[in-house]
Order: sequence, then structure tokens, then C-alpha cells
Amino acid sequence: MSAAEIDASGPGVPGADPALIQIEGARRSYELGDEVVHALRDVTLRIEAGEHVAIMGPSGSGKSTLMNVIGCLDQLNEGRYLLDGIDVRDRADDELAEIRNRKIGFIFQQFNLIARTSALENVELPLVYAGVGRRERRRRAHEALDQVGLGDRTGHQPSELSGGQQQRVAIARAIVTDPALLLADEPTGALDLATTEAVMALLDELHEQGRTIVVITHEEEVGAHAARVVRVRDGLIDSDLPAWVEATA
Amino acid sequence: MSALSALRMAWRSIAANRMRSLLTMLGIVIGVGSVILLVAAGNATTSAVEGKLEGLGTNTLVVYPGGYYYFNTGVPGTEPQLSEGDAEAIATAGRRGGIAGAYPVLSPQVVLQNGSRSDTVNEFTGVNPAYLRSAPVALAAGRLLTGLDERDRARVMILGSRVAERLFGKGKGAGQSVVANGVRFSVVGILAPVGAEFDSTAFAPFSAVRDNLSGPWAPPSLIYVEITHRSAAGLAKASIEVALRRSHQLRPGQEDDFSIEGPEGLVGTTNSISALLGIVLAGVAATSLFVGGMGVMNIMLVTVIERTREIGIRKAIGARRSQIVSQFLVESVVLCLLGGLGGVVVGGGLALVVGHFTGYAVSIGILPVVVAIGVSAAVGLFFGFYPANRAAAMPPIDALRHE
Ligand SMILES: Nc1ncnc2c1ncn2[C@@H]1O[C@H](COP(=O)(O)OP(=O)(O)OP(=O)(O)O)[C@@H](O)[C@H]1O
Ligand SMILES: [Mg+2]
Repeated sequence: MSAAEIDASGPGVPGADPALIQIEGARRSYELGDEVVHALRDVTLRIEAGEHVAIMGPSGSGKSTLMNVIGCLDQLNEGRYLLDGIDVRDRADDELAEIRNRKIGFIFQQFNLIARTSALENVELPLVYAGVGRRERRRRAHEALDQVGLGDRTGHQPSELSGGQQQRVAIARAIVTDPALLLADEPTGALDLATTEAVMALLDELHEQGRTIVVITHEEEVGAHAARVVRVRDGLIDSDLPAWVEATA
Repeated sequence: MSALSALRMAWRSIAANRMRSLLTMLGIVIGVGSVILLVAAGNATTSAVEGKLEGLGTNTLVVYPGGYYYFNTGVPGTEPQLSEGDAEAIATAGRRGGIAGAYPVLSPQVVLQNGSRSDTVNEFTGVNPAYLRSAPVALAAGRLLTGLDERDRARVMILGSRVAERLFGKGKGAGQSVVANGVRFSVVGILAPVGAEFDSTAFAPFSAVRDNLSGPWAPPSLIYVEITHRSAAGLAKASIEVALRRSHQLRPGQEDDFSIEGPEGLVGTTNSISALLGIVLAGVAATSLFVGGMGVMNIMLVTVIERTREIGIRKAIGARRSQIVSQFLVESVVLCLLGGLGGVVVGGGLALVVGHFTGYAVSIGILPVVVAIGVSAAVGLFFGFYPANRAAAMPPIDALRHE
């Protein structure tokens, strides 16, 4: 299905409706001394707005590298990446920062909240960097925290919250700018089973509201929430199937 | 980013490492504190000299042993001296030479005692009571010294207000007696407070000081010359010079071995002291603020490394370079400002304490404080610049990966 779509509207075709994520012939390698590690060998991937995609694969297969590229945190050695129709190659640091700020919400395995800073202020931070005024910031941060069910914990600092609560604050921070894409790298990797279900239910809910979600995971239960599963191995895409096909396989 | 949230962030990070922040600030505290202390010292000397000027009155010239360029070589018997004969020689120039009187002064170091209370008087003045006519002193109690005291070699004394207070308590002492280096003197008068100089002095007749305190061979430490009128200062100086060169048997071409200071001379001295103090001040300030600034830079570099991951998170969620730079700059400026404020408090406090115990009038003024705090902020900006830019230049994934 996805392969056909990429053929139908090849990237860069004028007038074609661009996909949200369009990666073509992506290569990324790291040099460690004399050794060269090929994290991505030749990846072509297209994700439409509104999809819920799981990227799965064994450890070291290149999932996080792919996520860093999609999140404009890292650059390709070769190939092309269009995010929402924008070619992000060779852009200045500040431009990339602005793209991340406006288009992407990050959810990390280690939550990555700022220490000694209240939940509310953590959620406000992307809006601070976007230059949103104080009052508007407050309002939207409260709204996002309400949405993740933490409206009553706004004054708590990360150290005063459980892992699941911290991850929900992180999700609130990711959605507060109303980005086109939510990118989650092992969002439940540091959580127990019950909390994992709660966090995944929250992501499902956000998907139902029309957000595009890309989740990286190696837990099959987490992958099962997605509508489409992309499997990566050794820096290459191994399979790319709808979840119901996966389930019957 | 709003200034308030930047300040809040900076404060949080400073408060999170309280001990380290305090130690870092210490450099700036010491720098600014010593500058404030030196400013206070400078102001105190200036006002003390001004007090001395007023004390001398504008009708007095002072003759010191040693020329303007004289340095004590330390070889005994070589240092220039004044004598009582010199005073007589000056006096003979008379009113036509602009001279109303010349009074040699003996200044022995004297310890005054009243029972168990004692006071060391460094500016003890043995002088002909006639001099006190022209000196602007006022009595708080008792009487001044008289010509009869001088003639009778009377062991009498008048005390400056501070000296009296130390020995007898506030407003007391007239009519009592003190023991000066073991010799009993009656206290016939107490001076009203006028300023640091006279308040810490005691006066006794020249003859009695010669007999009892200085010993017969001590040369006068200086000669007070009363001039006929303010406008006669130039004439009087010329008369003194002629008289002393003759009595010291100086050949033409030889340097004066004495110096004459009028009120304007003292002003000159004050100015040169202030200039010297200014140079010392600038040196101390520059050195200590530089050292303090290096300390701040060092800690800011450590902070940046410790918070690498935080920087990565901030960049991931959209912080631009300038926003990261300003976060760390604000932090180092706040650190230095707090140090500067601490320095003002510590320096000012020390100056007040020292002033309290020495009797010097301490004042600092608002300008040095404003400048000190402004300079502290500038130090924070300057030394925070490199660490802040290092933070901003970190690639986001490397920063995020940092453990
Ligand atoms: N900055 C880097 N420097 C050197 N090698 C790297 C770097 N980032 C990734 N790699 C290498 O690239 C390969 C893919 O790494 P990546 O982090 O994408 O794997 P992953 O699929 O996310 O694994 P995991 O499931 O363990 O998180 C690995 O072999 C890794 O060692
Ligand atoms: Mg990974």
C-alpha cells in the first residue's frame, strides 16, 4: 500500500499533495575511529498526515537514528527528507529549531522534563521559545495538562511526579504547540505495564483527535496500537504493513 | 523569552548549587568589597585633611623639617631638623615680613592615663599657648592655656573631645588630672568637637612638655607660623625661606632642607593622595574582578557541561541559539550582580566598623555603589559570553545523548 502511494506521487512532483513525512534514499553513517557504522543504509518512507505508525526493530537497527532525522535533530549523509513539504537539508540551526518548535512534539523514553521546574512551566516552555505571551501560554499549558489528565498537578516538579505522570507532562509539552507530528521514541520503555497502557490509551486518544503519531518501540503490545507497522533491520526497511495484516501473519 | 522567566530560571539554577554559587561569588564580593572599602578610606582621608585645614585656620603656615623631595635615608644624624632657634629666626622677620608669630611644636608620643583608662595620643602638641589664639578651637568646658602657664612651666593640659571621652566619659574631665607618661598634669579645659584632627589631640604648654615629656634635646617636629593676614601668605613664605636658609647656613644652589605648607599645600597633598589612591583602587578593582570573573567563567563552563542534556532538551523543543545564550548570560550576570551586592554590603560594613573605631568620618556615596554594581554586571556579561556560546553551539542530538 505504501509503496504504491510513493510511486503514485513521487516527492517533488509539482502540484502533488505532499505527505507529512517523505524520506527517499536516506543514508546515515557514523564514524567511530576507523570503523564506519551504517545506521541507515537506504531508507525510503512516506507517512501521511493523520497516520498512526509504529517503527519497530531489534536494538541497533537504526530506529532512533530514523527518529532523529524525522525530528530534524540529525541530518542525512545522503538522500532527501521533506517534512510537511519542506526540504530540511542545509538549514541553519535556528531555522531547524523553529521547525521543531512549530511542527514536531517530542516524547522521549526518559521523559526529559527540565528539573526543578514545575509541570506547568515545563509545558509552557515550547511556547516561551515560540514567543507566545505569558497569559496565552498559561491558558494553553493548562489546557494541555487537562487533556493528559494532570490538571491538578500543575505545580508539581518532575521529582514529585511518578514516571507515568512525568510522561504525561511530557506529552502535554509535546502537544501544547499543536504540532503536525508527535514523535515518540520508546515512550513506555521506562514504565510498568499498567502505566504503559494508560500512556498508550492517551496516545490513541490524541490520534483519534486527528494527530499524526510515530511511535518507536520494540514492545509488540505498544506496536499493536498503531494502524501501520514499519519494521527496520540493519538500517533497512524490512517490512511495512497495516497492523491487521501483521496481526494475522 | 521574557526577562522574568529568564531571571527565574537563573535564580533556580544558582539556588540549586548554593554552596558552589556562594564560593564563586566570593571573588566578586572581595573585588567589589575592597573597592568600596578603598573609596571609603579615600573619602575619609580627604575629609580628615579638610578637617585639618579648618583646624589650622587659614592664617597658619606649617614648616616641616626636610625639603619637598626629602626621603629619610635612615642614617642617624643625617635627617634634617628644625630647632627652637629656627622659630625665633622666623619671628624676627616680624609683621613687615608677614609674620605674626612662630611657634615650635613638640610632638612626643604620650600615653595618658586616668586610673585604668588610658589613651595613646599620637598628635600630642606641646606649643606656646599664644598659638591657640589663632587656632579655631572652642572650649566645651574649663579654660584655654595662657601665657602664664607657659611662663610658669605649669603641668596643665587641655584635651580634645575624643581624648577626654576615652579617659573620663562624655562631657567630663575638666578639673580632674591625668598621668602623662608617668607625670601628673591637671586638665584645665576640654575642647568642643570640631573634626577628627583636633578631637584626638591634647595640648600642653611648650615649656612643660619640654621639661616633662619630650626631654631637653628633642627637636621640634614642626613650626606653626601665624601670618598677619591670609593675603600675606606669599610674603610670609619668602620671609620664612630667607630666615631658615640663613639659620641653616645653606649655600646658594643648595636645596631647602625644610618645607613650608599653607592651606593650599595641604590641598595639593590631598589631591596627590587621592590620585595615588585612585590608581591603587583601579589596580585592585581590575585584578580582583578579573580573577573573580575567571572564577565565574569556570563555574559557568562546568554548569554548561552538567546541563548538556537540559540544553539538548531545550533545543529539541525549539530553543534558538540566542535563547540558549541569553539563558546562560543572565545566569552569569545574576551571579556577578549578587556578588557585587554582597561586596557593597561587606565593604560598606567594614568601612563603618573601621570608621567607628578610628573616629574617621566614613562616607561612600551612591555613585561608587552604582558603578560597582554596574561593573559587576559587565563582568558577568564578559565572562559569561564564552560559556553561553558553547552551550548554544552544542548539536542537539549529541546533547540529548549525553548522560
Ligand atoms: N552518534 C552516534 N555515533 C556513533 N554511532 C552511532 C551514533 N548513533 C547511533 N549509532 C549507531 O548506529 C546504529 C543504530 O543506532 P540507533 O540508536 O538508531 O539504534 P536503535 O534501533 O534505536 O537501537 P535501540 O533499540 O537499542 O534504541 C547503532 O549501531 C549505533 O551504535
Ligand atoms: Mg533507540
